[in-house]
Amino acid sequence: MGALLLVWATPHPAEAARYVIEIKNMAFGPAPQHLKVGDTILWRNDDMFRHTATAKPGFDLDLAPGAQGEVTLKNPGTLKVICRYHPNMTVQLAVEKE
Amino acid sequence: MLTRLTFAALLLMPAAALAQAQKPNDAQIAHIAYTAGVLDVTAGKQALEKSTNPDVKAFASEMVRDHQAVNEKALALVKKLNVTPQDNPTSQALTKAAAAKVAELGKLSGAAFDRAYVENEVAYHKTVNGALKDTLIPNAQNAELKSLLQTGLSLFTAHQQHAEHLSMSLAK
Repeated sequence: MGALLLVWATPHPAEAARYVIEIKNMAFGPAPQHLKVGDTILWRNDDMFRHTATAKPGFDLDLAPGAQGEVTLKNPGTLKVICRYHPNMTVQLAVEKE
Repeated sequence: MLTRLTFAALLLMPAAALAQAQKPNDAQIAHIAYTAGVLDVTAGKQALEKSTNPDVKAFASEMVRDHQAVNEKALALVKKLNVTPQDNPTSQALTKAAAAKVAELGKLSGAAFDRAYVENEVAYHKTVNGALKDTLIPNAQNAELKSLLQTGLSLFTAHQQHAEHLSMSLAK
């Protein structure tokens, strides 16, 4: 009988994912699901107006029309992101631990 | 149903023009929307000159920047559609009222100016929002114009909220 070779697949941490949130028509695009610490979000302003993607504490990206900026999610929890110029623009990000 | 904006304009109009004003055509709608933006840019520039309050200046910068952005799109659209914006009693009434307000605000300074400027911005945005919802958007024939007006409404609504928050904080 040949030797059985058993290979155990060791669990390894999922690679950090990268998401894009588009800003258009005075609104943030939908929050990605299953965000984890270490994931990055690219905020892209496809609107005709200057906007910010601001989370206090956290990050504050000031984006002219056409500009984009990237943030890495460092902490678990719920992040409320607003545009400082148009505070009714908001999106909530739920970030899970790694 | 007449909005306050249309009502104000009607007071200044001869009877012959009355019937027409209730259903503006696209050329008139474009003129009204563009004028509303230009007037807010002018008011914002006055505030940038006169105010020393950083929150008021930030708000005024936003007015100037955002209205210039949407007006740029409006100009590009009318050029593409080969429409010449048509002056009309509503635009004239808005312009006249805005000029009077600039003169009135010109006599104020400091916190008094700030409060008066922001209060007027709240009232102005409420009026224009009403006109967009009740008259300009429903009567717009061209789909692209209608879409741009809807963007204008989202913008004016955000501006109104910002002005209201600012007004509350200045009242303290």
